[in-house]
Amino acid sequence: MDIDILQFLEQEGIASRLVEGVKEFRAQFPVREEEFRDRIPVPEYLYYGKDVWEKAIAALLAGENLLLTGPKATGKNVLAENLAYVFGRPAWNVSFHISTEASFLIGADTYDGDKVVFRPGPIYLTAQNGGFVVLDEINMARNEALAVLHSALDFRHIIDVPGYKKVRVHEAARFIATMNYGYAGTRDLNAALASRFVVLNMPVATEKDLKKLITGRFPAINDQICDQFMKLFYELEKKASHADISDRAVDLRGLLDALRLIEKGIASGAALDMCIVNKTFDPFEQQLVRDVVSARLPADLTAEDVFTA
Amino acid sequence: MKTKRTGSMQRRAMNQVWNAAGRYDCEAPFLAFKPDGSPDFYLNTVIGLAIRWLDTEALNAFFASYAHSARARALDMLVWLGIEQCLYEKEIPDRPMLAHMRRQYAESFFKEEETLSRQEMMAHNPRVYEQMRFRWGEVRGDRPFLMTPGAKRLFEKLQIPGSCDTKELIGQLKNILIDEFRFRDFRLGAHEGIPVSAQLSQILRNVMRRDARMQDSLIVRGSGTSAEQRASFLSTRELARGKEDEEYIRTCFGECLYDQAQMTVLENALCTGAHESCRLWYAKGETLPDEMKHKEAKLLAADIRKQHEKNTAFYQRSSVMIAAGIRQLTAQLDALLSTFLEPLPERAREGTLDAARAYRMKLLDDPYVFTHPGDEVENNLSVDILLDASSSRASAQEIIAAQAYVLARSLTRCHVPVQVEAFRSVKGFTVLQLLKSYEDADCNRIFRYYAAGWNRDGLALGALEKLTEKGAEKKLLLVLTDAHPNDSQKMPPEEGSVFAREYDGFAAVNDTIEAVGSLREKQFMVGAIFTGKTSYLENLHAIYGRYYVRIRKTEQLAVGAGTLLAQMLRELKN
Repeated sequence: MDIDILQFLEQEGIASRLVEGVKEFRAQFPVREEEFRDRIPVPEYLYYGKDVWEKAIAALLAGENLLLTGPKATGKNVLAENLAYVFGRPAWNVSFHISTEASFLIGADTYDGDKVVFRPGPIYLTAQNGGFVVLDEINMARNEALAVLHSALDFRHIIDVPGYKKVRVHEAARFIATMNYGYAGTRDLNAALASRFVVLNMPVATEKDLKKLITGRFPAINDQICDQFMKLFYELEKKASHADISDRAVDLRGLLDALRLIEKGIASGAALDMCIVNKTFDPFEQQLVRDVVSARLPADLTAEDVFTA
Repeated sequence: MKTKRTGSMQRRAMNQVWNAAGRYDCEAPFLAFKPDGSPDFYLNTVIGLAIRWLDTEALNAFFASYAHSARARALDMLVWLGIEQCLYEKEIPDRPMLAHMRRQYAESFFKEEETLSRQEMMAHNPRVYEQMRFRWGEVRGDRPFLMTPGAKRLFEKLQIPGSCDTKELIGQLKNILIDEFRFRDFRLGAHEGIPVSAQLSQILRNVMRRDARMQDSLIVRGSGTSAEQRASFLSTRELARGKEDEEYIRTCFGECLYDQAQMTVLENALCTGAHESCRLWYAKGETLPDEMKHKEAKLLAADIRKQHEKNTAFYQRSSVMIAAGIRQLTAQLDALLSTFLEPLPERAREGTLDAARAYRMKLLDDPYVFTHPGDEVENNLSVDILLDASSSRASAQEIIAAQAYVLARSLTRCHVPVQVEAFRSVKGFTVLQLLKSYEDADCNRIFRYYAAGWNRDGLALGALEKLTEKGAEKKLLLVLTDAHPNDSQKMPPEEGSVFAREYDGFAAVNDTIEAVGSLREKQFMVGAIFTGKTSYLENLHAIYGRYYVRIRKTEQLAVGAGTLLAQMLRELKN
């Protein structure tokens, strides 16, 4: 997506002081190396939500690390990626799982054909090069594995790799973590780690912001159909929050993918099946989700019906 | 044409209603089903829309006000036509898809009409049925019907605009009944001293019969069995006693979680040997509503409700102690589980250098001289908490419910899937009641715990395995027990004897030992939390070996359960 992100922030009504702050940050920390310039993510979707934008930008300008919490489909990763782009920093992504361990984050021994050498991990690279690292689903990892982050995240700003060297965390480096509270297999972040972040609770997108997101990506979408897609999303979200279905079908990305498939000529029913309904693998749950879809959108909408504007 | 509705069909129908209602905090007052037993999508959506747009209490009272009439069934049909039109107009701007759904419904109406017999046709009130044909014909896009002036007037009156609120809607419907059907005998349930719920059940039957005959579709109460099915139960009273007992169990504990075929397989496998004459029932323990056939069951249902209130009240009174217990146990479990779930190292091409193997790289060209945490360790542990719910526990029901709550809540907080079951034996049935499933985030249903009947521990433990199918690979089972199995249903005589044996004492303990042994062979770690009399300690030791802990007060639960779980997890790891 080719966008002038600063202009976008201004259009969103973000406080000018914050936008100025971002400009200064970018001027202070330009990215010169080609290999890192490639790492600055160009977002496919923009995050809409003035309040969240302002809080996130203010926190990062103040040198804080951000923990984005919230249920599925609240745009945690979109925001994290958008932030790296706004601040013009190379980004590293770490998807956490139960077996994530310190050596993966910081770096591990490896053999270069002649001797055992240190191969730096994403946290090390971020610290060294002033990147933004997105720690996705941070609460999937065990607390012991995360303990290595403590010194990088707090006032010490260092990473000490035993047997190698101590790295001072670059002034422009920021850590952005995401977590979905209450997922099966997740754990609570321990107090020590949580205290090293400022926590931003991500709300479910408002209708206005969701509309901007959809129309931003699909400017030709028929207004009435766009509304029905939005309502479908909220109805699924409500159903999941009442635990009648899992949150697999509450998939904003899936909804946008469905629109993309319709754009390519797939009928609405099939597109929604592929991108929403079939995301749940339990046949009964699929029926429940399909009922919600069928009460909102006919199965035979074509690209001509949907994109008429 | 009617088929038995399974729980999942009801759940789907309820979801359709809730979705249209836009809220999930209400019981669906009616549910609609097609003749094949599947939910009627459009009618359920209309029912949901009634909840969304109208004051359902006022609407129910209106239904009740003419329920005594001999023509109630016909009037119902007419009233619903009016309501449907009004709701359609209200909702259509927000949900254009409704037009499509309505058209499909109209088409199915005429399709069903083709299959109606002459007798079924004659059962309709001709004026009302004519209106239905006009309505659905118009929706289908048929050419305008030829109508008599009277029919045309009624047709127009039934086009109730979406701008009406509940009061205006009811007003218009009332006028239609008065002007077009000369019906004036409206009664308010409260004034007549008749409970509205009884009248509602009458309406329900009317509406249901209407649909059964006219549209081959059923509208039934939101939970439990349909009235039609209940009627068929009444007609089968002369059937064998066993059938009656089954009905009793169903009425008391709700529909069985498994279908007939599955139950046959289970009973064939489990009700053998010492349990030859026994039967099994798996239920959520939700008693069926007022229409219960058994007086005894009705009393029991009232008792269960009372106990539920007592359990909840005890929880509220003891909330500080319970919260402390949960905190304490959660902290212990968290530490225990993080050790338990530690992945084992495996050889890798990168990771931590394993110095003892480093030579292999140079000499044997083996790059696997590093260690790396092994395969992803899933949260492969689930816990089942089995509560003895026999009458011997009657004096401590609130405490047991609270203890189970503390255990379940703590485990849930540590993200361990936990399931809570209660078991008891009544009328030869060993009933396993699912109080909380692995998926339920809410632990409050545990307070539905109610103690009554006997406890055939051996059979209950054997039958439990079925309920744990969705559990993780490694399973822990905690039994809250008094280690005193006994049941009124006797065991078959031993070889060479003609006398049936009591399920009590040594024989019952032996049977339970076997059941625990069999579970352990199937990779269950079984442990007991004992709250019974000292005289049964010997039984406890015999049944559960060293995996038990004795609790005298709820305050001891966190420490006791923590120690027991640590012991069990250690054993499981080894």
